[in-house]
Amino acid sequence: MVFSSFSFLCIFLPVVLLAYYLSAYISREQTGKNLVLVIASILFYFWASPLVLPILIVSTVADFYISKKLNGQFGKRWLTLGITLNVAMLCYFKYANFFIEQSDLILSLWGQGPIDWRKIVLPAGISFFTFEKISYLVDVRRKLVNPARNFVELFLFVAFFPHLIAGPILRYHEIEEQIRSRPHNYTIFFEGWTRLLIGFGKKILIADELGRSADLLFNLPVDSLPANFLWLAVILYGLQLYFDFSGYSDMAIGLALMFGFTFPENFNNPYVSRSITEFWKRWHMSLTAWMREYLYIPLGGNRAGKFATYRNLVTVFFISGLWHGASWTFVVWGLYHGFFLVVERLTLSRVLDRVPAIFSRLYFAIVVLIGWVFFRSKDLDTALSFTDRMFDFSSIAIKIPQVPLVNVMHFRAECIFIIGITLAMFPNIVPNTFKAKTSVYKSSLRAIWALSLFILSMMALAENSFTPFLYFQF
Amino acid sequence: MRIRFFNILFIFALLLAPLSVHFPIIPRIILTNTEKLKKPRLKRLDEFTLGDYQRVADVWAFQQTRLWSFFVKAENTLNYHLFHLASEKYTNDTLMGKSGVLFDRIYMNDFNGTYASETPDPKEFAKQVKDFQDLLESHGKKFVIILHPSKTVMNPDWVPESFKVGKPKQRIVDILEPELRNSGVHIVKVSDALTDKSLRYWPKSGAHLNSLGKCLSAKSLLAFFRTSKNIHLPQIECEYNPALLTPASGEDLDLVKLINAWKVSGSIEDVPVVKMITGTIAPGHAKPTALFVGTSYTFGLLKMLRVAKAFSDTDFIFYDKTHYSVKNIAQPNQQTAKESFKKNLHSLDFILKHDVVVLESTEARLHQLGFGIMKNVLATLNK
Repeated sequence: MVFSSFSFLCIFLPVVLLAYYLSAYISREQTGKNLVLVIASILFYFWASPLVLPILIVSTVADFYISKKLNGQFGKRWLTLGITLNVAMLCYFKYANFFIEQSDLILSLWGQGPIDWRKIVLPAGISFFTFEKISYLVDVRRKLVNPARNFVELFLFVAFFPHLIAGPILRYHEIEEQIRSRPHNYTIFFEGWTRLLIGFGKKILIADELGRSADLLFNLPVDSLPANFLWLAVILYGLQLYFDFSGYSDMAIGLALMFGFTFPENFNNPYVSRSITEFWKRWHMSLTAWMREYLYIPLGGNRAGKFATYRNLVTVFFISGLWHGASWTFVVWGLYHGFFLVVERLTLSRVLDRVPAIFSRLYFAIVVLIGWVFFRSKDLDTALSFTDRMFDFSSIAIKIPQVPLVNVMHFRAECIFIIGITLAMFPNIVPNTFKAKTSVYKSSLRAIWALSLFILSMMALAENSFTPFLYFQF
Repeated sequence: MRIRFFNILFIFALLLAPLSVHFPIIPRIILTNTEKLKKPRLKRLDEFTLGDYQRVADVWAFQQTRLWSFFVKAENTLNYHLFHLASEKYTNDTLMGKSGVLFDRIYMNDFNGTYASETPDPKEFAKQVKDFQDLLESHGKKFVIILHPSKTVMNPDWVPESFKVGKPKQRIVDILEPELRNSGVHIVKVSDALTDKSLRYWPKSGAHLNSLGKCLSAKSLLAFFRTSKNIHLPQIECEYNPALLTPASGEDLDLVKLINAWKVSGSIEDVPVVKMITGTIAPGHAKPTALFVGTSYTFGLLKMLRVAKAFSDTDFIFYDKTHYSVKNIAQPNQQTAKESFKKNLHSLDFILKHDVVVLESTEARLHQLGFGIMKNVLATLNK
């Protein structure tokens, strides 16, 4: 079940809130409340990915057992085993299909038939919870935290439903204390649900709307679209990605607050960036933090000389690309960003700091948009054709030759597009009361705003499942 | 205190929809021309493991609440008034043009020549129709095609720029009609009768012709038989006063009902009042029987022919979906029987029971003329 669904918001969430606060009322012990959340998370994941639930539980049991051994004899070997098991699980579920496809390609060059293989279904959230389990093991080994006192605490960290499917990626040392003790009061609860509903609005009213137009444009043959419409498609997609992901993160952070947890922020207005370096300090910040702490720094970070720094950056972004998806397009996307990070470190950042903001923001926009083409495309050929055509300025036209504009973008979408661009690129225009993340949370206006977004989003959700038929009575 | 109040309000907002299933918190709203999902049943395990069952169950659960239809109508009302949209869905078949005029998507596609890529070989197509016509005429039956025009093509001032493509293609009727005429196929083109630019032949709110348009369509068809020696049909005149209008009703509101929104008067306009003057036929001639095969435009045509008391027993095959039949359509209060389409309807035996065979089509979908009847009958003969 997804957060932005009727069954989650209007059935699952009220029931879990009731059970949670009832258990808090009955007993002040944290264990009861944590158990309620664990049971709710199991039910949540069972509904989302039933076949993988046993694997999630068993692998967490293994991590729990291994974590008890990490500070004893052969601790390093136990850590290696724990990380290997988690990485192997991720590789199997996420990359086995990709590996078989590439092998089939190579075999076909030799005239051999494909390997007999039944495609594996990707379990929801596996990229996220695998990284979190690795962070737990490493934090214990580093003695940043103690091993979880009981399985319930560890499972709660790994599988707590607000962050289970799509983050933010938590590091155990951020959450350990909160699992054992966390505050509950009316103000925190208020902050939580208003953030939840504003995130819901971002997802349904902006992301889904722009995504529809983006999909329609991307589904048309590339050579049938004028260059300006290709740029429009990528901008729409970039906005969809941002509002979808940040909206989901807002919902996750809001949900967590309702149960007393404070999650780290995941987005900080990334589209105001003036460089790729700055972008990665604002976009998917929990992933950046994880990569820095558990990959970049262990590789040597920027302390082993310039060449090693650049090598480490490229390595991290290669893995980051692969983490996003099992396809060459994601690998290229990751390396593309790694390349620009290196170039900016070498020389470009000095230039970007000196030029007027409009030029650096333009540079950033072009670079990130071209990157999104690779992120979105189903294969490299499509991505390359798309980018090639984007720069064919002789094809610019007011209309698409064979498709009416109303088929890809109607007036409502145009309005949402303008709102989306404004919110993404000029966030300071928006008063704090209306923003997802704000310090202005004691406000009737904020409550009314959040509830209004809820109603508008539910209306849009209802309309999505409404299919009238003209010849119904015939 | 204020924070506590809003917290309670939030919980109430979450519970409002599920509570509305059993408690009449809001009035029940019926949406027109739509069907809710049936209760999902798990038939195979993989439906659950792949998430298909959950997706359907979520939508089904939402649709059981009273709030669902309220939200649908509210959303459509918002789209109509704020964004001038008949629907926010790109796949929806109802579009809004200028001045609140509603269109079926087919008309927009026809305007742009979108269906040109579906055009069959014009010569082969015309040969098939001509062979069919010759077959019927060899058995002493009368055959004619009646073509209904597109609302967009006849009313280009209602068509906004966002409906138009950069490079329109030729319309399907412009490719096929000349070949049909050259082959000697009998064609009645209703657009030839809709010539007064000061008049509207379609309601703003409907997909089909208004009563004036329907009357002129019937008049065109009956005029075709004016000089026939064997088929005796009355000729009609359609009298109207441009200043005399009546509120749109019934089929004239079919598209606006589809929107399912409140306060849609911007898409509703009064329609002309038409008085049909029916001529007489010479005594001693029985009313002919008729078979119509066509689209929903045929319903309006048959309604007018009924008023004109033109035919006796009449059959109508709607696409290849439904068969309507009425004994002696000229008699008042005759009931129309309705049944699902059966393959024997596409047989020469059935067709030859009728004196007149009319294949009706819109100009937009001329290539679908007959919906397989010609091909099936000719194929049976070739065997």
